[in-house]
Amino acid sequence: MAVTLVLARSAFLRTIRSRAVIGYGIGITLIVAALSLFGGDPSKVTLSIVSLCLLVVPLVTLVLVAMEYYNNREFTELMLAQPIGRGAYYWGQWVGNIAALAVVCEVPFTFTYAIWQNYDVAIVGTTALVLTLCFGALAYRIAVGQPDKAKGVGMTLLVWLYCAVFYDALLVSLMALLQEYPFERALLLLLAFNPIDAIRIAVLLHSDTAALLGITGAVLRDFFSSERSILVIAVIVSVWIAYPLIRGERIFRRCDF
Amino acid sequence: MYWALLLVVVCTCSIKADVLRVCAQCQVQSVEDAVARAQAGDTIFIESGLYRNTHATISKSLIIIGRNRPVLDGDGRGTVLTISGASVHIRGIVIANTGYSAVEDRAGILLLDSYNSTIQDVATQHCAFGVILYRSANCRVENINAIGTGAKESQSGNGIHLWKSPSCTVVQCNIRQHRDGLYFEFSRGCNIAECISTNNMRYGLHFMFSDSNVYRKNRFEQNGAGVAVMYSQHVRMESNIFADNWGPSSYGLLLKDISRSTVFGNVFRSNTVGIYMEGSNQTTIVANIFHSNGWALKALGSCSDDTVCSNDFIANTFDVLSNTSSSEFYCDGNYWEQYRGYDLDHDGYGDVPYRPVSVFSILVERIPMAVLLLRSFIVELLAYMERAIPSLIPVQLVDRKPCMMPIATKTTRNQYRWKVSSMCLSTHGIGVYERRADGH
Repeated sequence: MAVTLVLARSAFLRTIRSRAVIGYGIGITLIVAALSLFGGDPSKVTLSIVSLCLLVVPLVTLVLVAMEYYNNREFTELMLAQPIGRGAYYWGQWVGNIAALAVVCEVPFTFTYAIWQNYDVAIVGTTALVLTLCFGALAYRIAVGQPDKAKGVGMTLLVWLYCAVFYDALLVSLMALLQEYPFERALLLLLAFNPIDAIRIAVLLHSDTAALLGITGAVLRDFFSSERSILVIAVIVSVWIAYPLIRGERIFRRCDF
Repeated sequence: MYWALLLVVVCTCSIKADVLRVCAQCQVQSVEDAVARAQAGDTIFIESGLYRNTHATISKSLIIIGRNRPVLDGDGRGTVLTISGASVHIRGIVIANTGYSAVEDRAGILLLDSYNSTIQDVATQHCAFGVILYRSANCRVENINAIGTGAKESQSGNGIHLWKSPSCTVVQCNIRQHRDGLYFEFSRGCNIAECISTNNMRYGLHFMFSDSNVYRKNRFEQNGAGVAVMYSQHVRMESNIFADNWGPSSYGLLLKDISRSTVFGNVFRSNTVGIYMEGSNQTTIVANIFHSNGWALKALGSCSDDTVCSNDFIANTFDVLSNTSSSEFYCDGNYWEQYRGYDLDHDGYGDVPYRPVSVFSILVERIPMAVLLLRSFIVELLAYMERAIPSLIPVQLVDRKPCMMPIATKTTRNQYRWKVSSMCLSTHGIGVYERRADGH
């Protein structure tokens, strides 16, 4: 445990000092500041920032976490030559990386909120944090499983494209095809299979409820009108974080460096 | 001289109306008894207390006044006061427990073929119907506080119910937990003002076949299905508030087959659908605020010659959904928060037309489930494509002069001032409106 923490600390300091991560932090600060200055209505600003988070945070997290892993390959080999458990190293690296990215994300939100107080900081902060955790886990799993750097980063980009764009496009066409059928339950399940969609719907439940209540399907109405929905989404997202990490650990333990 | 004066005094004494008192210790102990003893023109004072099993029928012109709010209890056995005479005035009483019957409409106060009557400062509690007016013309219902039974829709009645009762006035009533808060059928020329209708099972306000009515400064909130108005013409709805009517079949205001009517200076806030129009003709919707609704305005099914002008559309998920085109639907000079155009000549109107019907809103109308993709990247992409290629939008509804600034400004708490554009006032023959309206 102590070893894990030491490794996490070193990974944290290394990540947060890297130029890409600092650039990411500055970028978020500028955009959020601009939105809260010129955005107008608080609910609108919140939605704009959340939309932005849903797009940018997964992409940046995927690429940065994967790059970080590949750039430290030699350090990893050196460390594993020491009497350090593989599990300790694996978790230490991930926690350090993700903590750095989360801090870089959350600090701008806290500051801009402290200055302008123009949006719902709880929703925005949680969205960014959960997205970072989710896609950090996915990226780590991909990087651990793929020794080739170019292929690994390419795969993370594909994952982003799939989750952010193609998946929803597929859903739209599926809805158009199956609109005559009682499709609601399956649709809810399908939405859960994409962490971006799951988180987006959790946010919608807090903001655009009026539009959601226009849905006539009884299944959806029951789901959205209950407090349970947030719990269900939380469970789904936890699975999205936990499963890749546990799979990744198994691969990392067996990995031949 | 003195004799003459005495004669006058004696005469006035003899035609002076009698006063009867009803109380537990009085000679007259029940309302029925008092009504039976009274002559037309008499006044009955009901002293404070509980009068159980009261079911009186008043067929002569009386004035009934409660002192310190006496309670007339129907003991669940039917209508408490039935008024069939002309010019009956009732004031300051509490009516309770009519019970529910599937055979008859039981009311706290029932006006049957009455006219020129007044009901004032009355509270009805646990009554199936609060006040019913059947074929009663020119009556005034004021300051009624009606709290229903809260039973399910099929086993409760309406707060204030008018049937074939023309030229009546309903003001300052507060209605809760009834089936419909206010219900009008075949009642022309009525005036409804400053009523609050909330938490009713079905509609806050419901009228059918009731032409030429005016609704002003009312508040309809959190009703099961909002407000529904149907099959009427020359209706004016001014300065009302329609708020928090949420649900899959709930509307802030449902206009079905309404023609030549005016919706002016109202506030629609947090409804699933702000206004839903169907078969509405020559109706003007001017100077309203649509704020935080799921759909601000849905106009489907043969609406024609309608005017939507000088309204504010702010923070709605979808602004307008319509399958009619601009040729039948005049929609210029509104403020759209989602408008992204510019105003180079500084005349206050955007230089680029605004198309309020988005592709995504049409998709959602066809496939309701698609609303789950709201705010996803693919939908944002769709919106950008629309802006770049407007011909993508199948519905040709265009605001040619979208306002750059909101039309309403808040003056004090819940009070607004509208700067209705002259374009809106002149070209559509609605210059009769005052330019200032306030909610409350």
